[in-house]
Amino acid sequence: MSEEFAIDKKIDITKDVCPFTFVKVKIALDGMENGQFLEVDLNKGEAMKNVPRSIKDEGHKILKINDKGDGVFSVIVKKK
Amino acid sequence: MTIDYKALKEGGFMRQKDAGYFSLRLHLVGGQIDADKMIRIAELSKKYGKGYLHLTTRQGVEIPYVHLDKVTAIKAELAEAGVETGVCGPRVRTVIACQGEEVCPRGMIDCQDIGQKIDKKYYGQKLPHKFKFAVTGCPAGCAKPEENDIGVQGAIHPKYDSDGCSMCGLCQEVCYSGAIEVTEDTVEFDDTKCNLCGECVKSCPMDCWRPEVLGYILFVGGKMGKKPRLADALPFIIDSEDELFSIIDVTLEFFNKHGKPRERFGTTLDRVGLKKLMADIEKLA
Repeated sequence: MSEEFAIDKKIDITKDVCPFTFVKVKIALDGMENGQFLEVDLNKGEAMKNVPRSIKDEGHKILKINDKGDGVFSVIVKKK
Repeated sequence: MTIDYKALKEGGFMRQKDAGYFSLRLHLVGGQIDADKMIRIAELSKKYGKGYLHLTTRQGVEIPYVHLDKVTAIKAELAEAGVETGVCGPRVRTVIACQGEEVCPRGMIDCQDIGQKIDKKYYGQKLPHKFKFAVTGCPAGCAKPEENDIGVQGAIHPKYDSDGCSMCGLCQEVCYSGAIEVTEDTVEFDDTKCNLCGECVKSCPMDCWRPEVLGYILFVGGKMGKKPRLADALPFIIDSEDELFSIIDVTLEFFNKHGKPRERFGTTLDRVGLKKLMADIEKLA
């Protein structure tokens, strides 16, 4: 659950489509300090297949993925 | 004067409808070319052709409207720029390849490097009929391995280690073939369903999925044209580059031995049997 981490920023990309999904995550992370926590709400399917993977490729750490139900997941990311 | 069209074809000169004109095919590998060479090719198309280039369906470049009288001159100028002419006829053709692991997030093998090595070893080699290679990084198959006489595809057979797993369920979400099932406290993997795409390995935030085998799947006997035939995949992962090239050697020898003139490899396989090729490959072990 997200309360395990002191979330510094939250974004919701459930209304966005690729590639804006990851672009929004990237912009959010760019505005944060190293070691801070970002929570991203995203949709099952395309976003879930691609966004966590891209976050990992950029070197950030995914700490947890929570199934919020109704096809929405929240991903907790620690900025590298 | 008699024109030796066969000799011209060997050198990549494709006869046009217009008498005396050729579309000059160039030698490219994997659809990539140095920018300076491309600029020079463009300039030469203005000098010797009509000032445009044709991008072929197999990642090649041709300069249309080169007159027979200019064949020697344009070849010399291309050679100066380090550009060779292509080939046609019954031999190994342009090797196509996707951008592979260097550029594509899904790529598992260095397709451009493998493509260059295939080109170096086999390009222009005479065979019973035209012979096409494709190299692609993953099962998405952008370079269409199943449409080529030999297709090489990157493959990962994954292995799960529960150590450090956060049970996030991402691997189940990214798996295209439904081979992974994450329950409350277990992760089940059905490798009979796995399509070897490696997405679990690349996505897992905790690196619990690792490649047990990273290598190549070989497709044989594919072609398009008037009677399309999709290639057969050899039923195992080739786990080294040396083995990959040994198997390609055996496959080409097989085609040379069993193929009739002007018979595509897929037709030879249908006639002689994939089992026979497999028996030759098994002798390597």
